[in-house]
Amino acid sequence: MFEAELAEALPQAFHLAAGLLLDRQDAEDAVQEASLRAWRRRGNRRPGTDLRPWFLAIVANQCRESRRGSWARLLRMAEPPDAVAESSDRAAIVDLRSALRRLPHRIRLVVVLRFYMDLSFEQVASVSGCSVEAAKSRTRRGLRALESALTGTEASR
Amino acid sequence: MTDLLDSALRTRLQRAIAPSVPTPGASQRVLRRLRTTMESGTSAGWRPSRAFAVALVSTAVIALLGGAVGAVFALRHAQPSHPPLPAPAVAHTPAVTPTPAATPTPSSGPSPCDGASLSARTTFTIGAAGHDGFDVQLHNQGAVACTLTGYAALSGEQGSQPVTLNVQHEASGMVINPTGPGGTVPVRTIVLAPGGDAYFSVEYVTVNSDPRPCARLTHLLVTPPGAATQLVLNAMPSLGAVCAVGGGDPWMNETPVAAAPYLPYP
Repeated sequence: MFEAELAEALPQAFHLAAGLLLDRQDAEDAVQEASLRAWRRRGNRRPGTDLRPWFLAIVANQCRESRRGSWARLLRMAEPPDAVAESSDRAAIVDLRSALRRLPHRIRLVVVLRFYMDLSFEQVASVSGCSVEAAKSRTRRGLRALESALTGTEASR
Repeated sequence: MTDLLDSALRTRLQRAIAPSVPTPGASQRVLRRLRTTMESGTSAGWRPSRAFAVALVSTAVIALLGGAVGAVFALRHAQPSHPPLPAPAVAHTPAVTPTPAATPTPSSGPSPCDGASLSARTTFTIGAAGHDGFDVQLHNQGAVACTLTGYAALSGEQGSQPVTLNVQHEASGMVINPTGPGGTVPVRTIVLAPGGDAYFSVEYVTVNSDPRPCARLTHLLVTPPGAATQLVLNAMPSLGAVCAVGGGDPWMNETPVAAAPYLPYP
């Protein structure tokens, strides 16, 4: 039962971890750890509720905790860039990834949930553990922070 | 403008994040490991809290003491003509079950772990105010139980160059502080059953306040307490700069080996 529910939530979890960590292996590791953590804490889940927001919140926490330092990132940078390299506006994508990395975790979380995963503000608030108003406010802050990256690349095209 | 920005952002985010999304096979890998954990039940899936461990040990001690007191009391009050009293509760414990030929063996307990039977990996990481730290998990991959007592010996490598570390054994670091300010963690002997784990934590400073540049470690070399074999940690979660504190070699703080993870704090 738990496994089946989790299996359904995994694709979204991978997308969330990818958006927060911007690294494929880190994202998989984070979801792996989050899955084990969720299973250990399955008793804390409110009975009869959807597993997805509860599990995504655990994934978000795991991503915040599994920071990797410059040592690991330097090794990763040696890997050939995959699909990013094939895109026509590679510079814009690289800029956006850099801008995302600079966002504080809680702001990045709402940006990813809202604009990458297309969740409603109610769902964003549920996963982020904040009120809907706070989710909206954080989203606005995230947009403002990313605006310069986007408008800058728009102007250069 | 906001709608345009939203739309542009959504498109760009899709393209920026998509290359980082794990491949479809990742789901199977995650579920496979989860299944293993669920089947094993306790070893990886359930870790007793410290409070639970303390309660368990206390109960065992009380049971042993109670049994011993009961046995002494029974022996003192037993009449020679009476049949032997039933054994106290501790008789159920294999260690005190009377055996027909109870020849005393000098030391039948597990011996200290040989490094070759252990593997090491980093687990939970933490960081704040220029201090980073993480737990190291020592896993007994051998077929017999063994013990660990005290502190692992640590040194570093920067590429092929060895790096001597100024290792301190203080429990009250900035991010690794299981006892609070000024506290110490008692050194205990940890028995590692086959497949069992023990843990210690390290903390280091990532912001330089010393004229000398910080070391940039590529590996952390761990010699488990009492072992001769060095284990190499080469996938450090956040080990970049390791800086000196107040001069000398790069500083690192370490806690003694314990049965439960130090991190994350409850």
